[in-house]
Amino acid sequence: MGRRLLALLLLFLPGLAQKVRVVAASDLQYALAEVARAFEGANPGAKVELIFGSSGKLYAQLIQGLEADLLFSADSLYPRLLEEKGLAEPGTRRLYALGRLVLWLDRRLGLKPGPEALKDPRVTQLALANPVHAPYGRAALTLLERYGLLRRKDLRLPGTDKPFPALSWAEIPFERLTGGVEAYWDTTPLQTGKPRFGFVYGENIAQAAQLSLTTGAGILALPLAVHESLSRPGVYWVAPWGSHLALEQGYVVLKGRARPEVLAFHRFVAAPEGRAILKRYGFLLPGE
Amino acid sequence: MDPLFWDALFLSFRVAALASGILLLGGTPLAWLLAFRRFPGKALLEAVFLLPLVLPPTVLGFYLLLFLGPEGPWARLVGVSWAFRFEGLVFASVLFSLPFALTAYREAFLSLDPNLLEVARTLGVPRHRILARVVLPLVWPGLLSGTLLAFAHILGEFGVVLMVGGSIPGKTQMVSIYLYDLVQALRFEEAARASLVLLGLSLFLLALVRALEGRWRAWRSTTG
Repeated sequence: MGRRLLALLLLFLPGLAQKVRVVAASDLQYALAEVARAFEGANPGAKVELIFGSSGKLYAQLIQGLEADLLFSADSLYPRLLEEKGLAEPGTRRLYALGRLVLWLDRRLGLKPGPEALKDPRVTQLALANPVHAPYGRAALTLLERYGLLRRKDLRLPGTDKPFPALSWAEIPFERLTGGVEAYWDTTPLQTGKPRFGFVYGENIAQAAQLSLTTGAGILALPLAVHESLSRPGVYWVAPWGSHLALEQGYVVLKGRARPEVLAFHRFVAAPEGRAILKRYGFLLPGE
Repeated sequence: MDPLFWDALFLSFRVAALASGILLLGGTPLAWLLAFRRFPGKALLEAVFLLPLVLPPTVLGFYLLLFLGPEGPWARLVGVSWAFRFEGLVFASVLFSLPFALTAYREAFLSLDPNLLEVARTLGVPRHRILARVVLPLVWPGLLSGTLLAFAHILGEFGVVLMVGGSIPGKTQMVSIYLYDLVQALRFEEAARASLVLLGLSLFLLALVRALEGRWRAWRSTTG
């Protein structure tokens, strides 16, 4: 009888573990997994469940009732929107990292990575995260603009009162730009001297990374590019900070979810151990 | 409604129409073979054709991406990578809708009364005339409903298209992906309107399939 009770107890024990459910932007898929492992190591009995996707999708799911304790976004917009909707625990919205953008090229192209390389006829397809909803895709377009590879067409975008060329990066209504890059930007600098050139869009930055393995070129997140699955087959150039729309990545605890283990993970990310891991993956850290 | 929705819908229609046309032309003889001929390895072949029915679309999409990509065997054969291109989408659509079409076609052939064909043959009717005068008039509703089913299925496919399409507006962004992007951009109202159009369309196609099947049954009971 006693043994049976023990077996029954053991069966339910995993259910007693303090589970923290985190939804996170895909650029974190390697870095945050490591942070979670370190957290679990430091807090026996705690279990971190990670769900990755594009920040926009995760936000849309959260406001429709997705059960999660924390959101790690690839920008600062979605955590702020959650707070404005009263769906976040007050005072838990913080910056955890500044995202870096890289231009990734297949090693076999034999090109020196950098903006100039994109003009080479061997680069015929460029993978991006979809700028309509993915922060890294939006930043990628501003990076191409900064290096003169994209020029804004003289048109007026829906929902804006100024012509497109007069808009600041922050004013561009990316969520309405569903027509593809070519519909709004002149891509001549990327087209000239090439048999063909086009963009390919990933649902999130991790899919963009996977697509670049096929296209041979992509604008990706540094924390993904440093991972061996991309650093082995490719070479990359890190865009200087300030050369694109800032990726100020924020996180927040969701309303009613401030359990001790959730707050512990919230703290752990901002503590030296968590920061060290994020830094190793190439994130810049707030306050450094 | 966002004009880009119509672009995406039109693209989906083009892919679906071309792919289901190919299925009709190529799938019919294949279904005939599977219905009436016996040959070694038939069971395995059938299993292979049915595979897309149970395989996760992302698995199929992953294999297709490797197959169609610049390093893949298909690019070596035709000289250009079909990944993230219209041709690749059609190729993928034919493949993942094959089980739907084949099953319907084979069903249509199997329901033919063998006596009818026997009688025609003993009367000395040439084979191509048996096909045109006896077989086709009896099986066409079945063929058409199978093709429509494949068409509707292609309109709605997501996983495979996400993997091999690359979501290029006007080129490879099929309507299912367009909707997904719309939802992610938090444009819920437009997404809801677009979804309603698709709901109506799918319902219409399915009703058409059912009507054809009903007509086919009524027909058989009078002729058979």
